[in-house]
Amino acid sequence: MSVRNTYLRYGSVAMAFHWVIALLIIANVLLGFWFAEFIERGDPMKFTVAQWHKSIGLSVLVLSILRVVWRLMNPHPPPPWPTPLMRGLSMVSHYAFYFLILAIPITGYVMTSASPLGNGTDYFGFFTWPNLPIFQGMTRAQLRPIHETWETTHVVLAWSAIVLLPVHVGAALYHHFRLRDDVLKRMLPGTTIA
Amino acid sequence: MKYPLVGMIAALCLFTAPTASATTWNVDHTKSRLGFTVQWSGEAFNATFKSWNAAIVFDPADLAHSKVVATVDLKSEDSGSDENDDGVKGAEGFATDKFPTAKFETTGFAANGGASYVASGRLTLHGITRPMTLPFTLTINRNTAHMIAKAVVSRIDFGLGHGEWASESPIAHAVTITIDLTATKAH
Repeated sequence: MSVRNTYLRYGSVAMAFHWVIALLIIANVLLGFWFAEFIERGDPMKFTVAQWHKSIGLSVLVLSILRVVWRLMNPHPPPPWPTPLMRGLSMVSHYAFYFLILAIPITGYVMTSASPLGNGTDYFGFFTWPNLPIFQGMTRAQLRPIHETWETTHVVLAWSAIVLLPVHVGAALYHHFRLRDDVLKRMLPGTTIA
Repeated sequence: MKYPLVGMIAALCLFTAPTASATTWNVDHTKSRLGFTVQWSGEAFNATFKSWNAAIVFDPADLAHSKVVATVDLKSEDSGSDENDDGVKGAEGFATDKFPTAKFETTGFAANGGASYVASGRLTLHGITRPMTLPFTLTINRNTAHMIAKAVVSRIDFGLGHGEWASESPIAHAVTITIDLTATKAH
C-alpha cells in the first residue's frame, strides 16, 4: 500500500487521517453530550470531561488542517457514482464533511475562548493551549451572549455531522454490498483492489 | 431539688458569665452586605452571600467581653453569573455539598483609636480553620452601629481551587472579603 493516494485508492496517510479523525469525532460527540447534558454543574467531572473534549477537538482541528493540505498535495480517487445526481450528492456530502471537521473544532475553540470562566485548554494534562486572544479585555457580561451564540453554532454544526454520518456510512455500505464496487475498499487498510 | 450539683453549676455560670455587661446587637439584613471580590480573567468578580448571620456581643468600652460568631450559608453565594457561581460552589470550589457553611469566630478585639478596631479570630472554610485578622471601622449612633471591614485571604490557604483552578490564572489567589454591616441594639 502506498503512502500517497493514487487514482485507484487512498494511500496510507489519507486512510490514517480518515479513520483517526472519524474515531476522534465519534468519541467527542459522546463526550460532548456527556459533560454538557448529563454531568451536573458543580461536579468536578464536568471540567475533567470538558478538558478531554477540548483536547480531542484541538487534535481534530490540527489533523483536519493537515488532512486538507495532504488532500491538496495528492491526487484523489474520483467519485464513482453512476448518475450525475448521485455524483453531485456525494460531492456535497464530502465537502460538507470537510467543512464540518474544520468548523466544529473552530467554533468550539471560539466558544471556549469566549467563556466567562476564562480557563484554557489543558491538553491531556501535558500543556495549556491558550484561548484565542480576540476576546481579551471583555467583561463577563459582554462575553456571555457571544459565548452563547458560538455555543449554539457549535451544537448545530455537531448535529449536522451526526445527521450526515449515517448518510456517509450508508452510502459506503450501499457501494460495497449493492453496487459491489471498490468505494469502501479503497478507504479500508489491508484490502486489495483488482 | 433533684440535681443539686447541676443547679449549683448553673448558678455559678450565671454569676460569672462574662457577657453580662457587653451589649448584644442584631444584624439589620436590609442594610447589611457580606461579599467578596477576586480577580477572574483580569476582571473583578464580585459576589455576595444572600444568607448569613452573626451573633454579636460588642461594647467598645468592654472589648475583653466582646465576641462575634458569624456563620455564612455558602450555597447563597451569588455573583449574577450562574456559570461562574456553579463552579465556585462546586466540588472544585467551596464544595457546598460537603461544607455548606463558613464560620468566623472572634478571639479578641483591639482598639486602634477613633473608629478603627481590629478583630482577631478564626475562619473556618472548606473544612479548614485558620487564624484571621479583620480590621474594621465602627460608628455607633445611639442604638445603631455601622461596621465596615475588608480583609484579604488566600483561597489556597483554604484549599479552594483544584486542578486547572489551582493556579493564579484565571482566578487570582488573593480574595478580598468585604463586610458592610448595620446592627441595632437588642432590647
